[in-house]
Amino acid sequence: MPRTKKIVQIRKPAPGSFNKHRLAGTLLQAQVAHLQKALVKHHAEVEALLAIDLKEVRTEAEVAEYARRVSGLLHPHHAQPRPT
Amino acid sequence: MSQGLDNLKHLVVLMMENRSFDHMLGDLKSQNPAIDGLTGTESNPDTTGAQVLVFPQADFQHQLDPDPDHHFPAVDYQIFAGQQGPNRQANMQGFVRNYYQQQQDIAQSHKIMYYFLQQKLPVLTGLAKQFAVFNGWFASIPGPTICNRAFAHYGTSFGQVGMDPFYWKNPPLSIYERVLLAKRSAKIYYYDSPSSTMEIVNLLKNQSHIFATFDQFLSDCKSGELPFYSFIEPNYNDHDSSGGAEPASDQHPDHNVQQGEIFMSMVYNAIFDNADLWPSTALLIVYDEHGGIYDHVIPPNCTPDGFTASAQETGTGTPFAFDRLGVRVPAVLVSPWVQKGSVIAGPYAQNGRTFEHACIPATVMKWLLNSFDPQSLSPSDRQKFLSATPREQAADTFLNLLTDDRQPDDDCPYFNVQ
Repeated sequence: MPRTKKIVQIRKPAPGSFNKHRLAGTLLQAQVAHLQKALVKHHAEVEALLAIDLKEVRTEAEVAEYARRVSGLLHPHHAQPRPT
Repeated sequence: MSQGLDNLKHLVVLMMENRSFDHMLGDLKSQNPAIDGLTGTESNPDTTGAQVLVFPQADFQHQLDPDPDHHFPAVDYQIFAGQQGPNRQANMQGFVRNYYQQQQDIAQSHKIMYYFLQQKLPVLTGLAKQFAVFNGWFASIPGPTICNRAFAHYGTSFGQVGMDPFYWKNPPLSIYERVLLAKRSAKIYYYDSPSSTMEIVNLLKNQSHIFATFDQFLSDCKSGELPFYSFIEPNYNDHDSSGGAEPASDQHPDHNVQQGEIFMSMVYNAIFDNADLWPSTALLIVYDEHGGIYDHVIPPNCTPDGFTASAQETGTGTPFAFDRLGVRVPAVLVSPWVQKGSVIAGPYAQNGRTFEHACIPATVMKWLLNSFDPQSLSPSDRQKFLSATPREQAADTFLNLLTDDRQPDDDCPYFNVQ
C-alpha cells in the first residue's frame, strides 16, 4: 500500500496507439546506423581472436586473458576486469 | 549543507524526448502566474501572414505527424524566423512557417502551436506542481537528439550539431567514467534490448558495463541498491516482447504522450514505494530538446564549450560556436526535500537562473566533490577526472534546491494506471 492517500489516476492510451509498422523517424534511423557502426569494433575483435593460434595460449594468465576477451563479447555486462 | 543534501544518496535523471516547455507545461501559468507558461496571446505568423495563437488542443498522438523538423537549420528558422546576418534578433516567430515547409498544409502547420491542458498530463504537471519546476531549462544546442543528449553525458557534444556518432578519444570523460573513478556507482538504464540506447558509439561500445535495463532499475529501487548516479532512457519504439506489446514511452512525436506519462509514473512510484529510498533520492525529469514545437522564451547565450561547427555542418551557411542554447524544455526536480510548489525563475527574471543539459554532469560533479578528494587519484586520472569543458564549468547546479524541510509522504502523489 502506498504511504499516501493522494492517489492520482492516469489513463492508458487508447487502443490503436501501438503501431509497430509505423515508419521509423530520423532518430531511430540514426540509432540503427550507430548500432551498425558499433559492430565494427566487435568484428575486428572476433577476427583478432580467431586469428590467435591456441597453441600459443599456454599459461594460465594467457588463458585468462583469452577467456576475458571472448567473455567480453559473449557476455559484456559481466566480463569487465575486476576493479583494482 | 541542507538536510536534504545530507540525506542524498542517489541522483536519477530521466530524459524524455522532443517536447517543448510551453507544449507540456505552458497551461500551468493559468494556475500559478510564477510559472513562465502561456497567457494565450502568444502567436506566430503562418504562410498567409495570419497570426496563429497558441491553442490548448494538443492531443496524445496522431497530431504532430509528420514529426516536426528539429535539426539545426529548422530550429534556427524557428528561433529567428528566417532572418540572416550578424544583427538578426531571435523572436521565436518561425515555428508555424517552418512546420508548413514539411507538407505545405496550412491547417497542419498551426498544430505546432498546440499545448496540453494540465489535466491531460497528470503525472508531469502533478510533479511540477508538487515539487520544483524550472522556468529556464533549455536544450544545450538548437538541434536534434543525439548532440543534446551528449551534453547530459559529457558536458559537450564535441562540436557536433547533428545525429552523427562521436569518435572523440580525449577528455572530457563521460560523467559515468568520472563517477566510477571516484569509486562510486553509475548506470544508464535503457528500457530493453529492442529499444536499446541512444548512447551507442561512445558509451555502449566502450563502456558496456555501465548499462542495465529498466527492469533492473525497478529491481534496484525495490532492493535499495540504486547507484550513486542513474540515467534512464525510455522505450524509443513500438515493439513486441514475450510479455506482449511494448509501446514507445519516449513521447517523441508521433508516439503516445500518455504512454510517456505512465513511464514517468513507473519511475516515480518505484522510488516512492521504497520508504528508505524516497528521502535519499532526487529525480530530475527533463526533455532532450523541443522537437520543433513552439515555445515563447528566447534561448539565452551561454559559455562556449571550445568547439565550433562549420557552416557546412550547421547547414545554415553560418558556423556555430556553441554560444547560445536551444529551445526551452520541461524540467522538474522531484524530492521530498524540495519545497512544495517551487518555481525556479528563468534567465530573464530578476535573480533568475539558466539551466541546460551540461548542468547534469556539473551537478553530479559538485555533489561528488562533497565526499571525494581527487587528490587520491593518480595525476593522470586526476587530470581526466577534472576535465570538464568550459561549458560544464560554467553550468549552474540544482541540488541546492534540496532544503532542510521534508514534505510529508502522505502529501506526495502516487500514480495508479486505470
